[in-house]
Amino acid sequence: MKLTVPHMGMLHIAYTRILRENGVDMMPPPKATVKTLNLGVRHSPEFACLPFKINLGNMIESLEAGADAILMPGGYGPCRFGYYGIIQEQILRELGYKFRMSTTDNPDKLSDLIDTIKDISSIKNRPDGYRVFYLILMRMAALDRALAFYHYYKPREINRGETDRALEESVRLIDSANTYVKLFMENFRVKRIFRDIRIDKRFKPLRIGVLGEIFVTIEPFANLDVEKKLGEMRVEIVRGVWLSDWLNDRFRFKPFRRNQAKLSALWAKGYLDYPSGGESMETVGKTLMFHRKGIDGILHIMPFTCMPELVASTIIHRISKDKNYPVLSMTFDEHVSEANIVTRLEAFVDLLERRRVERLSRN
Amino acid sequence: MTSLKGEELKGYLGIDVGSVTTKVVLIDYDGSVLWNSYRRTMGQPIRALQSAFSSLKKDLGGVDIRGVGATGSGRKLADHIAGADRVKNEITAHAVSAIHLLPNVRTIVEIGGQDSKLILIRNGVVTDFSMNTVCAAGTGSFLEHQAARLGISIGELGSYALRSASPARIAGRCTVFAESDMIHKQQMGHNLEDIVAGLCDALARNYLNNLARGKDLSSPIIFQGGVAANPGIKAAFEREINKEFIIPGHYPIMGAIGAALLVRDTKDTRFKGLSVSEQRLYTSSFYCSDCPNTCGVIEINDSEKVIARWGDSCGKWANMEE
Repeated sequence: MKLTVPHMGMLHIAYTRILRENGVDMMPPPKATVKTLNLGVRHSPEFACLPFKINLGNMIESLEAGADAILMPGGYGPCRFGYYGIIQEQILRELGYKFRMSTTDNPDKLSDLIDTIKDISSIKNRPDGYRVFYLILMRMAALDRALAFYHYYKPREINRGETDRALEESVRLIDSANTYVKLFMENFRVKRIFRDIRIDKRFKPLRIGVLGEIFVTIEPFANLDVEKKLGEMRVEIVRGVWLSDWLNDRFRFKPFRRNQAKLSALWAKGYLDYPSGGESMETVGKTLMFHRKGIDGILHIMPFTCMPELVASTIIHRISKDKNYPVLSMTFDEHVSEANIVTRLEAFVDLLERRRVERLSRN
Repeated sequence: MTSLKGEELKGYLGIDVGSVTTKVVLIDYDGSVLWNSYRRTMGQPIRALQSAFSSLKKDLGGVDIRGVGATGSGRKLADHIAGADRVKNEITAHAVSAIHLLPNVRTIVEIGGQDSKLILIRNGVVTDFSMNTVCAAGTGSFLEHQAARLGISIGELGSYALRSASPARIAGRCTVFAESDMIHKQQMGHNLEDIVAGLCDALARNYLNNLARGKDLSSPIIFQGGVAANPGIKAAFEREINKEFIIPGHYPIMGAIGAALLVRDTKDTRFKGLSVSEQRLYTSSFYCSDCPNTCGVIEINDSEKVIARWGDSCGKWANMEE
């Protein structure tokens, strides 16, 4: 059995090696390209969101490459996402593919996930299942930490491209760490790699908070790599959504990290008092939090037809008006034009720069 | 325009390579326009730029160009060809020129060939903007297409609209539906003037629905971009929101003026000189087959040498040294 899981940011780096070492024949989908997107779009309902289309493209490409089993998170999802596995399975069956598909019924329930791992791997007892699962989570957290370093160092680097190389090297190191002890050691090395980058210490970059629907926000292929574009415009990114935070909210593996969903709900009070699906609570709460922390502006990312983020978008534009706080919403789907995205990003950065100059000259 | 042939003229050049037209202006330090050129890109931005440069040389003789700013959707191309000191997006460029002209401006409505923008300004600073993202309904290309279908020139569109007493109501949500609705109205027997006026109304409504939703359009409002040439659109906007729209004298070249204003503090310009117009520049493109992305890579060549490459998402062609 060759197992594949659709891509989501760097998640595949966290699990592939570990599951392989435990007897699972893992085959992550080929890296998403235009071909992936075209395949996904051709076979998806038009108004399904971009994550659905990219997932489906990943699945088709994996099946073509020889995979015969798909694992897709599902269950009562945060939004329409909960149905996606079922619909994708149907579409793939109609296309004539033969495969086994499992959707995790309740992605929030730990024992469910451990059972799934026991099912597909050579691990036969629960404690080992926990040990492997938590190692994957810790690796994910390490990858996210490396990316956060990248966001900090990229706008300050003196030699162009040095930070990109540091990130590549860090990902390689983290990928090679297949035990808790090794991962612990590699974390120090990653920190050192980034600290060795030559940076302009006096330069104070603009800081933009990046919030929105989690898949499109963390997947560079889906958002035309806006984070890299902003980094090259010498803007520091303060990301509000992380895959490891999302996982930590459910499985509590980072003892000192607060539950981000609950934290956001506290901040969002008065603007959004009830969860409205997806990351809407995080988007609203963290917009208010970033405003208080003096982040210069918010870039809000969402897929076209995303209901939860549409709700959040309406609310954060209200916040923008109330607090005189710049917010730029960007919607992504397969039709998005890069020229348009770049022009709006540049204009937004200019806007923030001018505001900062005004603020400094007033004080 | 005053001819200053013979004297050495100093100025700053602004280049705005748009989707439909290419604008080049020469301004002095105070921002007054010394020379300008407005011509159709005709799908050949390099040719358009070169011919603008050669007519600049013909009109003014020797000019000391102290700085060059590039904007518009073809700003990167303009930079590679002419060598620009600053490459700025259209939104900032338009805001800079409008603020220069009218320091207390609060709203800028800009409608060009293929995109439209709304820029809000408070105390001389851009505070918000929006730009059409998915639909070209309500831009110059749409108007031009419809004018051609009705058999009148784009320049006459405005005067037709102003002669109408009761504009026909045309569905403006989408260009395709607008067109079929127009045909329907023609067949019902509405006269040409009413249909043209209805078209202007539809465009104004479409703009306000798409870009201005929930935004506070307060006076003074400046209306610029090529479509401002059409008094029918101005009238439609004023009817729709009951506020005066100010059209600056240089409405079609405001973006280029903004780009030029931004380079007034340049020390040593990167400008390659007006002789660029005599170079044998041509572009070629190929599809990179190294990964399934199959990016279309574009090259600009000067005779046999490649000057610049772009279009690849991984950057390996763009960063290649020749």
